[in-house]
Amino acid sequence: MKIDFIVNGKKVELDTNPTRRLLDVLREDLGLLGIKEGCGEGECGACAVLLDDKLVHSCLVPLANARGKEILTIEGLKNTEAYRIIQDAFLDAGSVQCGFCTPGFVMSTYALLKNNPDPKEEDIKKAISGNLCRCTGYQMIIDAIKLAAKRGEKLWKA
Amino acid sequence: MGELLWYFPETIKELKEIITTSVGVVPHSGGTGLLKGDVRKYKGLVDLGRLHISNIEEKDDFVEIGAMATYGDILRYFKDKNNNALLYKSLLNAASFPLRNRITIGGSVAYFPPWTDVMGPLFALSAQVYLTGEKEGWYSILDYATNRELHKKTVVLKIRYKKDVDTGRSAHYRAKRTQIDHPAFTITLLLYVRDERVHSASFYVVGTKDKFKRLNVLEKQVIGKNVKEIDPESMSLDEVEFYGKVQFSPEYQKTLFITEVKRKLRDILETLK
Repeated sequence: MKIDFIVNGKKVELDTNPTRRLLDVLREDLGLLGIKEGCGEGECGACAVLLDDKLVHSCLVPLANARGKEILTIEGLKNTEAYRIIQDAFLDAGSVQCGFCTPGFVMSTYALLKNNPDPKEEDIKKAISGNLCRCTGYQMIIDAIKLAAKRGEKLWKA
Repeated sequence: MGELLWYFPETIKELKEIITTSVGVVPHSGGTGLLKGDVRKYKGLVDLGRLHISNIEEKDDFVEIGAMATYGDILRYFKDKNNNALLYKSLLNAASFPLRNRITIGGSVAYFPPWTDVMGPLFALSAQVYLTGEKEGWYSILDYATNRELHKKTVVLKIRYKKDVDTGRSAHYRAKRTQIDHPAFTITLLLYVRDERVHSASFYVVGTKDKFKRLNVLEKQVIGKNVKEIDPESMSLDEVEFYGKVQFSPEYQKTLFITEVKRKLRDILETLK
């Protein structure tokens, strides 16, 4: 079946099985390897992308559901000011160790700050409730998100 | 085995046609359950994403929620309007943030997984579901949950409950190990007080051996009583049986249930004294 959708601003049309996971299509067909597969069952958030501006686990989205929709992956965010602010904040707060979960956390951070430019710690914890990190113990990630909120204040509120 | 067919209806009329004439097709909304299950048992999947049925609105005396509204949509709707709404309170801690953007109320009602956070509140609110397909019209959620005939060749289009039903004092408890864990069971308590007396109550537990149970024994002990005279500790509870789940054993769930029902009831009563 032909399925068309927009990935990182570019129109894509694929002739494939619509029951395939969005995660597999993004990685295998489109080569977007910033999206990781961790658990494959919607627990770890390593595969997080924005689907029509809403944060989702791409391992739980059948491709058919993406038909006609817009997808933003970490690669699409990469050359933006928002990405630079979040990346620097993660580096400065020491939030990255093995780095496997980081793209997912970056996407969750972006989704949070876009909608809530001045999050309380509780909001941050809820926003990253769909992401697992086995290295950092979360506090440094929470610190990074606070830092990104502060440094990008003008951008998030714009 | 033939290829799995996907249908993308754009009108309710098209949907009705597909559901009533095709064999082995099932509606598909948020898809969280789909990729975890075995899709090979279906002949076709009907994507409901193009029907524009995710609206939430107040209509006459009702709050009406489209079947494709996600938990996230419901939370966003109630956040500024009424953060005391029972559905808001019950969904606030349900699932993780990205999952809330996928799980739909219609999917939860239609599939009724034992860990769902919406069924207890919808039972307590005496909600109704609107079906299309071979049976068209509004049905009580209790009928829909217990009568499999209502599921055959039908699709849930919307859910509604009376606005004034959601004006009682309420509490929702999830028996979980960690914040984002599926609950082993949920408890929903909703009671109405007039002149310091409880004049009606609606208590449910979901995730039991029989899927769910209304706590009639407990309700009877509070109705008509002055709130200052109710002592949850001395009350006898309904006989509720649980089956073993990945989170907790049946015995532990039973103990947890007894403790938490009384604790939640006490919490509500404290706000009234």
